[in-house]
Amino acid sequence: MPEGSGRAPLGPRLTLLIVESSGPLFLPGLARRMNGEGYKKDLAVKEVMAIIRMNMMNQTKKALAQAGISSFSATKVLGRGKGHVDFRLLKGAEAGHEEAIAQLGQGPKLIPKRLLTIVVPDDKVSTVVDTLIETNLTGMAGDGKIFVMPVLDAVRVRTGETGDVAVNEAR
Amino acid sequence: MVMIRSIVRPEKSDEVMASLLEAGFPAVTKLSVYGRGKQRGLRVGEVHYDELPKDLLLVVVRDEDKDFVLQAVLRAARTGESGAFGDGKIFVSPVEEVYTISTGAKETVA
Repeated sequence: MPEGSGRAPLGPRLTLLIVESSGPLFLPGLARRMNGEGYKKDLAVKEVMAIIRMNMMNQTKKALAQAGISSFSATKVLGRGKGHVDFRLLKGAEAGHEEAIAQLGQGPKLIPKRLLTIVVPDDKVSTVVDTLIETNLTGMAGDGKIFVMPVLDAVRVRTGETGDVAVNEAR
Repeated sequence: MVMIRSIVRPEKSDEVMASLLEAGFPAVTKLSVYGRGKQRGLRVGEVHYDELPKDLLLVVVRDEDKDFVLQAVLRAARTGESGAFGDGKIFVSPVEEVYTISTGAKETVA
């Protein structure tokens, strides 16, 4: 390759990008993406934890996707609410006392539920909460709870982006 | 409000749940998880267990109830007189909003 053609400018350009990225980054593409390219980075990130009925999972997924929230993680959990569980009864049944076994199933026990964890930018929190309440509302006890918690930071592993850009689904 | 996440021994989780019930906090969510701590798992003779089964208990309470619930969990989750490695950890994090789905109502945040 002759001197001064194609390859030569690469050196200075690369240096420039690294200076711009203001951090110890060595990939120009990564540096550009981490700079946010005009996306607001000052939005806080919130974690929405929802405990819902097992059989509501499919319609909740559909409703969330329609509201523009497609990413979340879900776990199967056991739980109880205000209902009481008598542990003396459980112990008695375990020990084989017949009257205790007969009373089992009369009071509420640990109930299988789904725990959804959704991390979204601040401005999406009300959308998520409204969607969750709308789709999961049957009006009976046991519909579940929703908790909104602050998150200090979020990182997209693929690119290293941080902040609300990392959980922004438009990107 | 605050969320109290306690990682406890699976065999102790029934005791912790009972103690919470007695303390007047019946609402708990339980997950079984695997993890390791400062001791990097457990070594029994030649066998090394990197991750040990634990139960993760989630309790959301008002700020002023925090210490009371912590004590209830600590009392029940500890093994022996002074506790032992592997008894678990408790993490407390802030919760900004709480909603009850069946009523659609936002709980008053204390």
